[in-house]
Amino acid sequence: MKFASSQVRSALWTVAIALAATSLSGCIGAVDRMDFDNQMRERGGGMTSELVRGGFDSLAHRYGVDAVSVTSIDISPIETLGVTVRDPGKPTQLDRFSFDGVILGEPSPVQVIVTDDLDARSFTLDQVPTLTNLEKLVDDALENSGVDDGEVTGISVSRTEAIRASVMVESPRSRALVVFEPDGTPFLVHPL
Amino acid sequence: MSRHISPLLISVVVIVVVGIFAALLSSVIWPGQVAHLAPIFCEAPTSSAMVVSDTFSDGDGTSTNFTLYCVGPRGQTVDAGWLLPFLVLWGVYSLVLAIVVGVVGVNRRRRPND
Repeated sequence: MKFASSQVRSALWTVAIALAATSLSGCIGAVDRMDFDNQMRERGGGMTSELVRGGFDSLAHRYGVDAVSVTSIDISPIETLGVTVRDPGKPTQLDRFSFDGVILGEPSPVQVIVTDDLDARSFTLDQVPTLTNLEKLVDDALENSGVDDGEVTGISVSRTEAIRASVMVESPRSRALVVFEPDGTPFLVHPL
Repeated sequence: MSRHISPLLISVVVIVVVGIFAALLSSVIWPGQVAHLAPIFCEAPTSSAMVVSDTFSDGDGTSTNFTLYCVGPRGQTVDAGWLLPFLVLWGVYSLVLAIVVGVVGVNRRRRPND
């Protein structure tokens, strides 16, 4: 009987210690969401060529075409791809899509100004080969920006006179826009 | 036959129930242990894992959710959820308990007069 009561007592102590450890431990081994997001940004924010390829494959599948024609591509941490697509069935209409690496969101309509020349503004992924090695583009932007301890906060590809990929590099103290040719050659560094 | 099945069935039920409590309690104290299941849930290039906690406060108090993420060297993330990793953890704990109970049972049978 005495043995049984000591067993119960030790079991209660075990439970008490476990509960105390639970409340005091602060969840050993888990990372707070904000710290996790910061760590992922420091690593590169998931801005990879796989993200771009996955997004464009999903778009091509959605429209039932081999390749889509777009007017802008925006890539930002954490693994966010935004694309403005010319509807292959109605080339005068633009749709905006977001892709998170897995799921392609629903399209939202984009207003087109009457004077917009969509033929002159649109391009395909094949015309921007640097996006097939986005990791190198990110590294080159960090290297060329002149920003110490910078992070890439966004990449934007559009076509005005020519197709350009603009990469924004920011640190707590400064920021710069690094512009690249479609093949990944640095074109312009613009400290802001 | 039933004399042998009943203790076995009881042992299995006890192991499974104790296993879920052990997995539940230990995953609250040490949720990071689930990250060791990366080889099961994560594939290249997101082959390492991290456990992320989301804390919510409302009128009823504070609650924390855990999620297992597979992460890559470039900051790629894949949400692996929590339920499935927890079920695997439960299975692992139950397996360890079954081995311990089995070893203890075999030792007792070998020394029936002790």
